[in-house]
Amino acid sequence: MGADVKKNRLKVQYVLNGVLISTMVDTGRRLIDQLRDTHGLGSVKEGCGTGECGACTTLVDGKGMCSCILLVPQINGKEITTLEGITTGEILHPVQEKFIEEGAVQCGYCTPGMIMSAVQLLSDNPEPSEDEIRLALSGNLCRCTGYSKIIRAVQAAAKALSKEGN
Amino acid sequence: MTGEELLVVGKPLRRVDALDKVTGQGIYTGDLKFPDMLHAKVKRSEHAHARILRIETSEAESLPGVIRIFTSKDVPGENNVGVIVPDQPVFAEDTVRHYGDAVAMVVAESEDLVRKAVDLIKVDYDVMPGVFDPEEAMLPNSPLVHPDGKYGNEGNVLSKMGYEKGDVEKGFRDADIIVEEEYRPGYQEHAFIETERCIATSDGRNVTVYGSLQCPFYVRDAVAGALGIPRARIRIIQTAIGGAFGGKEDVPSELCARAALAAYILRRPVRKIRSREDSIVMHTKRHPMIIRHRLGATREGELVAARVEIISDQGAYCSVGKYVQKRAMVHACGAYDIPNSKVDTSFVYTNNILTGAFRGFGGPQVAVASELQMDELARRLGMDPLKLRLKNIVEKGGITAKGQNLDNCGKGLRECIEKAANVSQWDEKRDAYEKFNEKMKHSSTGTLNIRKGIGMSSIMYGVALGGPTPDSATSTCQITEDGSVIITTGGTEMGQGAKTVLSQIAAEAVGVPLHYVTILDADTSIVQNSGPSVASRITPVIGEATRRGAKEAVSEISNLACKLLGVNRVRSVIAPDGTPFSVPADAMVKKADIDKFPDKVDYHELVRSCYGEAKLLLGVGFCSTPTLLENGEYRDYYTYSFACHIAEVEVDMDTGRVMVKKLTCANDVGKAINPQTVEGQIEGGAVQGMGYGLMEELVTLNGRILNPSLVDYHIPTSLDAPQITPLIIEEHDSFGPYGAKGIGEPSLIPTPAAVLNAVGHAIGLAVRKTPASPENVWRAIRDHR
Repeated sequence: MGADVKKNRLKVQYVLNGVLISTMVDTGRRLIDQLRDTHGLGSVKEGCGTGECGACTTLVDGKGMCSCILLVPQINGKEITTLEGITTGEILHPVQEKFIEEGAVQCGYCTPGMIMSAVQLLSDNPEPSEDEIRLALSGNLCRCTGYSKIIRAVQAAAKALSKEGN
Repeated sequence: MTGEELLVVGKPLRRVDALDKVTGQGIYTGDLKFPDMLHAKVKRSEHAHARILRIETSEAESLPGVIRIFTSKDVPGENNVGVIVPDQPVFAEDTVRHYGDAVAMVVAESEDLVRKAVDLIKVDYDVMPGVFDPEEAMLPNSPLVHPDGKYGNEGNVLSKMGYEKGDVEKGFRDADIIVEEEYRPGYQEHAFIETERCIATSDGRNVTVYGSLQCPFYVRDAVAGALGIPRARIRIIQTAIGGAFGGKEDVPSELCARAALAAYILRRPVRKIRSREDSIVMHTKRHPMIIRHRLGATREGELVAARVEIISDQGAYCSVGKYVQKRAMVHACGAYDIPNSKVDTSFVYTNNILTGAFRGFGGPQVAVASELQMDELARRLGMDPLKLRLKNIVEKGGITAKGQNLDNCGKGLRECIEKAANVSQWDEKRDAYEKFNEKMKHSSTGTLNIRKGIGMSSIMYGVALGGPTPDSATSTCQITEDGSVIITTGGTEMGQGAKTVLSQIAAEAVGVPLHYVTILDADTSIVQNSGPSVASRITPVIGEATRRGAKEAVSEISNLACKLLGVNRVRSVIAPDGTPFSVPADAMVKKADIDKFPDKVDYHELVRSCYGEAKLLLGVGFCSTPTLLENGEYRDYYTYSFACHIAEVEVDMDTGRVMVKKLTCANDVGKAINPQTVEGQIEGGAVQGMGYGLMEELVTLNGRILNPSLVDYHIPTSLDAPQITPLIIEEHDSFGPYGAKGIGEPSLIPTPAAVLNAVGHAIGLAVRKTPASPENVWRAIRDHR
């Protein structure tokens, strides 16, 4: 890892949505700013800046984390996935599709983070119970939906994915 | 099949904005970028009440990259804003009146810089005694928040409102039983996930503001006032909104006025994004209320008199407080037929956070009092709360407690109560939980000391702005050459589904599939002022204006179709492939058979012919709610929505912790334009209401909010939210589009009281203070022992 201590800059490498990135960053650069401002990934939403609401949830080596409380040097050598990385061209991920179908979206501000947590859950646990879904999404606050339709969407996506898998 | 079949309305179609939102492509204010953009942040007051002696900005100004620091001296127009009275300063001048007042604003090249610079501003204060309790604020020697009384206030009392119907004293004399209690519903924070934000741009003459705004026209008027320039030189453009719930109603006015001021003077784009802490400390909250409620009934459970006194903490500024007050007054006695009633309300200035619009507008607070009173009365009469309600609800043809003749609605409430009771198995569970609790009292074996309860709350809700405030809306509809449809309204999409619902209404009226319709985002230089996006009025009022505009736009098309088909009336049929056709109104043809049906004209041909013949395909829809009666008097509200929510809870007697297990929510919406979005409103509103009743507590000490974060102020998570069964009841309304009424607020209003009544059933005594947090429930249990 190259470092320019005087200027507080570090060289970091990470894989973002499948693409290898190698760049110099300020040591205090937040991951959310790197994703939104440097890489133009607008799906990563900021709701609190302190890791409370989950709107900026991003997968780091497959694990959902709040990108507002991660610094870029902390993700050196890791694989980062945002909502933009789970859509292939025009084709939506089943979780996205079911969010639309089940009416799980209202204001949409928590939606990207919520979907990322759901994607992580279904890759770790393809057949989650309702309680497991509720637990997996409990770090993502939603003020609009009351969670009912979100939970139903995740259940439907689990079914769709298991069909796909067969 | 005749002409009455609906093509688009009443179907659970996919939201028009869902694809953008699940792919992260929706454009919110924070996603906009402008070259040369500056950042801004305010220096908040450090006291609840103080005189400003000096604002020292030189150190902050000397930071490289800091462009300018603004204070009240820089405001060229009126420094005060306010929808009802202009009592709130854009920048505090000589006095700060609460911790959320803005003293100065830093504008700099980066977010980091503005944060640093704000900390370097030093303000010298002469601290004055503050007043933090509305009842103390009403005492003669209390410190005064607005001493000159120029906002119509007498001392700290901003406003008094009340009414009396019948003879209340006589009513109580005739009562066999009187229930008298005090209730203290508290604050609620909106906690939208996207905090308030805006970006202002200006060429030094005209000003444009993009923002997360519920009511762009309120903002336009405030910006015009602060800059001292005509409204026509200002454009307020609404972007996607990450939740609002009333918290972005009038409050963004000061935020946007400050950003607009900086952009106007500096001629560079200026962005303001509130931190979560700034958001919670600076924007309005749900009004906390002290409600003293006296209810008289006969031995048989017939209500004879109600006396309600409400004192509410308005905080430092009026905001929309007087409108909340009116709604609280009208709804104070609940949805019951009470011959004698008297209500008095006082809204009082204090040095606390200002209070204002929040989904329900005083409704949830008064429902906590009136609905817990009904359960208390039922308990003392030994009657089932359900039966007590059914005996006393006001119904069509009856007179509301406030005195309005329900000549045009009122069947929905009984249906809501019966349906919710039936689906939730009220009778069986009420009985089963009582037996369970009795058994638990005498059991010593279990490790968990649990009680179960089921409780209900039923309400009426006056739809839209009440009389005599005129409530009107305008909308335009343009049919383009290819048949697609452009709609403008001043209504805003805040997540509730307005764009989808208005699209469905327009598509139905024109007779085309949903995807033909585009609703423009509100832009005050293009769309009409359709009134604010509040009071559950978008679907019924703006929707009706949209329907009328669309009908007018399509009228030449229909005329031509009539001519070609040789009939007087036509209707639309959409073929299985999505092509719309006009057919004679009485034609017995189904969608599937349209191909073989000869008497039809393709909509697109009609549009082309109309353009060829130079016909106008533009409609302007206007409507105003029928609040004015023939005798010159006003209805309180032109119609009412009704609801009954039933909650089931488990209470841990040792810790006071309440788990809401189930909510059954019946809401009368007139007509569900989109049943899926209606369900979404019911579920979301109910969980927000549950949060208010159960867990949300804003803690203040001498005007300072002690928990301004989402870690310390708890909104429901997916683990707190219960199973919800939404039930849609449709009592057709004669004014609203296709019979629709409002749903936004009545989805929330009954839930807090239903949860509290369920807790009351479980533990056998009432919790009269929100929230039913472990501490409050545990104290109630302990105090009773």
